[in-house]
Amino acid sequence: MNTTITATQNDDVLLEVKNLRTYFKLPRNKLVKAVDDISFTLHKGKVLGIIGESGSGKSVTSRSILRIVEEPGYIAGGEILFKGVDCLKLSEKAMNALRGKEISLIFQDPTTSFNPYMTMGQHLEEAYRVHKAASKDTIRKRSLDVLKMVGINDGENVLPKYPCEFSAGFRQRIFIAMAMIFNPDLLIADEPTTSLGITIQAEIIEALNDVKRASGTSIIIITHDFGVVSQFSDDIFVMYAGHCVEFSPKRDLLLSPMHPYTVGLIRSVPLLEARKTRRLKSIPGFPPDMTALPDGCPFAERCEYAKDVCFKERPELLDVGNGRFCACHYPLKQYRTSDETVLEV
Amino acid sequence: MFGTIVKRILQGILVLVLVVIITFVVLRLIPGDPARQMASDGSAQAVEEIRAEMGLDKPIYVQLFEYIPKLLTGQLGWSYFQKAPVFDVIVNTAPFTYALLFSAMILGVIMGLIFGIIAAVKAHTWVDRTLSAIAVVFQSMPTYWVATMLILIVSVQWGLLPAVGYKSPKYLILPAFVVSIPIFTAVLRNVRQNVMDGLSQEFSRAARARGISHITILFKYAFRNSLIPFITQIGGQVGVSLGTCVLIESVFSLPGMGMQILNAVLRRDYNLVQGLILILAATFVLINAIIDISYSYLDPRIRKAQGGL
Amino acid sequence: MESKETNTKTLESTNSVARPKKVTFRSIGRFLWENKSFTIGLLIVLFMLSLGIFADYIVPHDAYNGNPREKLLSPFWMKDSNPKYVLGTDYIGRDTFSRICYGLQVSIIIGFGSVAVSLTIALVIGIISGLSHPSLLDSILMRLTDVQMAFPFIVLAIIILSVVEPTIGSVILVLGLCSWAVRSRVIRSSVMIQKESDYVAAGIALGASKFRIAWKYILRNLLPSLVAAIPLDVANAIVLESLLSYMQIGLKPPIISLGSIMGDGRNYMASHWWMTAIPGFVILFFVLGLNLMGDTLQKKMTDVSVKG
Repeated sequence: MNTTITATQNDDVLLEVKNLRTYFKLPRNKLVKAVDDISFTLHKGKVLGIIGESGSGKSVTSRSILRIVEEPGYIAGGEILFKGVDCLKLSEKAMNALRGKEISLIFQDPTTSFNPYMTMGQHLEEAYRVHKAASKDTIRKRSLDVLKMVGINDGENVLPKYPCEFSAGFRQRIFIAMAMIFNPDLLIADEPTTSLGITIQAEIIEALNDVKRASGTSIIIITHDFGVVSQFSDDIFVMYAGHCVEFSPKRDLLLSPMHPYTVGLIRSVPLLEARKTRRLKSIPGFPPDMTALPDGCPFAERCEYAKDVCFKERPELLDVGNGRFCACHYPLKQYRTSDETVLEV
Repeated sequence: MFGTIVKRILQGILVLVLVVIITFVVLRLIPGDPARQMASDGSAQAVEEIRAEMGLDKPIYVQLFEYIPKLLTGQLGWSYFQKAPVFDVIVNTAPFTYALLFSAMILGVIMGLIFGIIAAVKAHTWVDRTLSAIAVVFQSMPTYWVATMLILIVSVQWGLLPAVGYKSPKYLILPAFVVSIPIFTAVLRNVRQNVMDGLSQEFSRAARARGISHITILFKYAFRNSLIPFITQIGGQVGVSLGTCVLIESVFSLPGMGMQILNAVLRRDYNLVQGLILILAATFVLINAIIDISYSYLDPRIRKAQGGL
Repeated sequence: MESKETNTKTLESTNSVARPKKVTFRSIGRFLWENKSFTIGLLIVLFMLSLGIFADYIVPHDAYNGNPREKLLSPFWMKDSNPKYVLGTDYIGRDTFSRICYGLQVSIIIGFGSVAVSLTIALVIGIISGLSHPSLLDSILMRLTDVQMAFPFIVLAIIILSVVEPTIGSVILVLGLCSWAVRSRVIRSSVMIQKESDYVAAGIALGASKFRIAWKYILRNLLPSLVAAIPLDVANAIVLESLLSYMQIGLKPPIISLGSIMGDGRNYMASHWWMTAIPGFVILFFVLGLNLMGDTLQKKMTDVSVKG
């Protein structure tokens, strides 16, 4: 499994993850390969969407990039090249200098990701001071700027208040602002909308879009919801059971998915428009037991196209041309989604 | 906010009134007539005179109605055995008990905090396991037995510290250590658990993702967020420790309120028992009221819910 | 639950829907193997329980009447010991080991008995005040628990035990009456939480009677945490009982208590320290065993409630 999704234009590559493996040691000598040999590339100013069900290793991937995987998890191997430097080889101190300054992470649940005892102003000030000494006024000015960037214009009223005084959606916007305080080159949003209501979700996506337009930062957006990635990502990376099953530019992926799992994910997106009478289909079965993955394709058990070989041999991630990669013994060549318009391609 | 404080104080007063009434009634149900013990010649006439003087010839509720108004004006009555006003006895003995209580609290809390935080940082390593093992063994030792054994080893065998009585603050070291043991173990476990919880909270992870140092996360995030359960627990510990003080005082023969109260119960010195129990209960109630009120200052969520300061 | 992905428990059970596990010898064995401190505690407690329960068959000597010619003997590992008396003899020549067995018997009866009393009181008060929550009744009951907590235990016990004769029954009652408050607070708050929960709301919506809700929904959900609390409460009661006997306020001879064995040794402490030390160690080990069990059970309880 040496296939790497290589960069086409090497000069503007921001992040290159090669053969990343993050494992968790469990009691009774069980090993969970939460992320097993994944590779992808992110170009400057682009948006990469990572999609997959719960437990597929998406969040672990994001935490691995920042090297904040917690015990009993550990990074077992691979390379994470950020601006050409392997993060995994950096000292803890040098890595810490990247966190929040050049790479920022946005968390899933804004109701728990703020310290309840600190005001928003203190949060922003601390996030700034960690990396750079500055006067209170400078920080205040910068704080108001980043708040404006996410559409909060009355920053003066926001700063002296505590997290508990804001709604979840508003907190998430402040969190995004805090993540942008140093204009990081890379912003990782780990399920930024999952815990929010549907109208708020749109608001957050809009805020991320604003941020991207204003700063040109690259974004990795992790989600289980095609609705989120389809709106503004350039490439899509589909994960299943710690593996990459498909990587492709968004348009191609949505129009003609090649991996049966991608098809399943797309078919399970509900549509609102009445004329589309497509029946909503869920993927049968459950995600596999991560402590005992089968030898063959991890998706074989749930796959309607699976043949004998799928249960025996694990398919490798192969370059299928046009910047597309797929890990399947029988990639779907002819499949066309019928719902292009709805998916806003 | 002001309403909360007033409510809490009224609750405290109500509890103290109940304590007074219950003590009053139970004391008078104890068989054994103090007047008989006090009457020097034991003649029936002398006993009756003393009973009349003490008001013991009247029904309990009449005695109670006479006692409560006096209490409200600050009169705690006369201790028949100490031959002094109860107030004076309390003033003379309370400093020992409070000195013991507070030195033990400080010792136990500081030790518990230090080792609790160490255990949380080193969670699931041998350091943590050793500390937890020490805590559970210390927690299982009966305090009065530890006191006896320490007197035997430290005072009698080694001659390092004085064993009984009180002549100088040195006499408080052993008793304070004994009283601090249960506080230490309880605080250690509580701090360990809460700091561990705090460290695994999403806001601690988010802080780490912003490049904030471990030590800042430990204190500003994890510990700060475990402050309320920690302080709640100290409130509970005050009650337990007051009880421990009472009995440890008698093991070490410290002339504090504990010694006094045990003797007073055995001698049926009603007014003194009543006064001492009231003071002990008031200490507990007061400290817990302060703690309850301090929550709202500590937690912005409660503060905001109550509509500002 | 992406955010909990790093949590081992979630990882382990991502695709297994939580269902009650079958209790088999294998699962018990696995539990004991994985919770070694619980197992150590259990072994200590079982040992102490069997010494106490089978005291009549175990004791080598008369625990109540000694042989004055063989008094103040040392335990087996010291000089001046007599192989007949493993742990030595007391000041009138009674065998310490036999007395400890009977002392354990009393500790066990009083420990479990008083916990039964205090848990019953705590349950009744906790459930009533939790269910009636914002009400006058609730406030009154809560002030009562405040009163119990504000009273220093030892003073309360001395006062009550000077009114009533200290017998096994009365000591059980005194200990029970002196230690229900904290537990009733816990039960009350847990009832209040459950009252707001969806399954109780669903029960009410389905038309279940108040009594049925109190029993089937609330009490049943309280039970595991109550059972987990028993070892810790029993340990506490055992220490308190021995304390009362040690201070000569509790049980009177001829009833043997670990506390009174210790108290007997007090006068001989300087020369015969083991007479005080040995019963103390017995209490320490018994209580340690109970605490080890209780800690594990309580930890399991919080894990379960966190997992939902």
